[in-house]
Amino acid sequence: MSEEKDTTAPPTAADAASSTGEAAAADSSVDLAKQNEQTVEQQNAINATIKATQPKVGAKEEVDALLPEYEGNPKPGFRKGVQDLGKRYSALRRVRGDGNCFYRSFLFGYLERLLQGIKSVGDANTKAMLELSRLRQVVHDSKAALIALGYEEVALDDFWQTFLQELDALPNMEMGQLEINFREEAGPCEYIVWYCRMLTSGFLKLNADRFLPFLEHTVDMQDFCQREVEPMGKECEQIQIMGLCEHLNTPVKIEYLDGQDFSGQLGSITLPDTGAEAMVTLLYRPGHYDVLYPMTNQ
Amino acid sequence: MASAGGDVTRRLQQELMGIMMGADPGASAFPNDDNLFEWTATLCGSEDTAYEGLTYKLKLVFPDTYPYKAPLITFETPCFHPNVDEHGNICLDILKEKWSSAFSVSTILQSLRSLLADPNNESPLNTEAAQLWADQDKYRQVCKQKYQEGAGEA
Repeated sequence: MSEEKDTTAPPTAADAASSTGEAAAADSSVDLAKQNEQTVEQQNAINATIKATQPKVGAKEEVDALLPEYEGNPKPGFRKGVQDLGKRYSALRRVRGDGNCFYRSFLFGYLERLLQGIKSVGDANTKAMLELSRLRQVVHDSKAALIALGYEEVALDDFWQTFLQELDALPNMEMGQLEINFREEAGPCEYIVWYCRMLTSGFLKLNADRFLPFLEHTVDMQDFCQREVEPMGKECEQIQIMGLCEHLNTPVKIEYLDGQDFSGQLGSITLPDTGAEAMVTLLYRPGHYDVLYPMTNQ
Repeated sequence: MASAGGDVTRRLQQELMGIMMGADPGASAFPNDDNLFEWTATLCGSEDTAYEGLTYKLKLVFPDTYPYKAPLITFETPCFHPNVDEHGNICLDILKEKWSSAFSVSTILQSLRSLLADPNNESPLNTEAAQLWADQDKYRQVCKQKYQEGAGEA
């Protein structure tokens, strides 16, 4: 409610007379409605632009394609970072910056990696099939766990079923199909993206004692999850990444391209840090995530 | 895979079924005529609150992007409450910035019943109601009076 606080007239002594009180209430309600309308309009305009110019999941491109964005940037760490990434990563895939980019990048990168493994032969195939069935089990079991936490089945069911259906369809999918599915506006992959938010929420709530100390301004994990995890379009901090990747037990490596100067390699982090090889590598730039493809993963 | 529109319809049908089977005495909701995207809900004030014995009608309009976007909910029966304005607009976080697909019509109705009993007086839409809240006897009186006036208009 913080955004509404500013426009709502605080109670004053003058409002004690009921007629004045009503007038003030009417004013504040009109202001509030107007402000909401404006915010919604602005947001819609931004969203429309993003939608028109940026697919949810872009095509693979060379990492160097990022260089022009940092032409003349006062922080030399950006260009230097892109050059470093170019030596270690064969490609980059941009993901739409609509507040869901972490979840979407992670999910796409993960499923694409699984699909690649499934299309290979020998060990790589076996490994990928085992990993897919492990993931399916985690997703399968998650609904009961979320219901136990107080979520309603009717709210979860479509999303959960869609997730399982997509996982079941994966072994028979052509490589290009995954891209097509992820690009569909309001398509099934949007369901999966939202369900990942629920997986995150469930894990953070079950482990609230461990995660609450990371949250500076909150003592209530339920409130945090409702505010910062569950709504679509809410951006993601490290705590959500830990929640999701630990729940799925799928490590993600994140390269931090934040403009800071560095020596040797660009800074990176793997979550959860168990020493296991990351299944997905993402590029972080302030406020945004994209997918990276390591040289060896070709 | 069903189209998005088909999914919304299915979801609303499932929610309706749940509400009808749940038979909550404090809250009910049903689609208007043949339009599954517009419902009328009935909320009964909880016992031991200023709203005890009062029944409110609300209008629920579901966007075709439901449940990604929240339904638009307004009081049709005038409601004297700190977080409801004279047009029936409601200020409730789960219908605004906290909205997510995890909520359903039945959780919304429960939250609205709780809101009646426990207003957020820090950001009131109706400052008169917010100020009067501390004096529950008086509040009860004004609440009943406004309710009867509203019933007369309707």
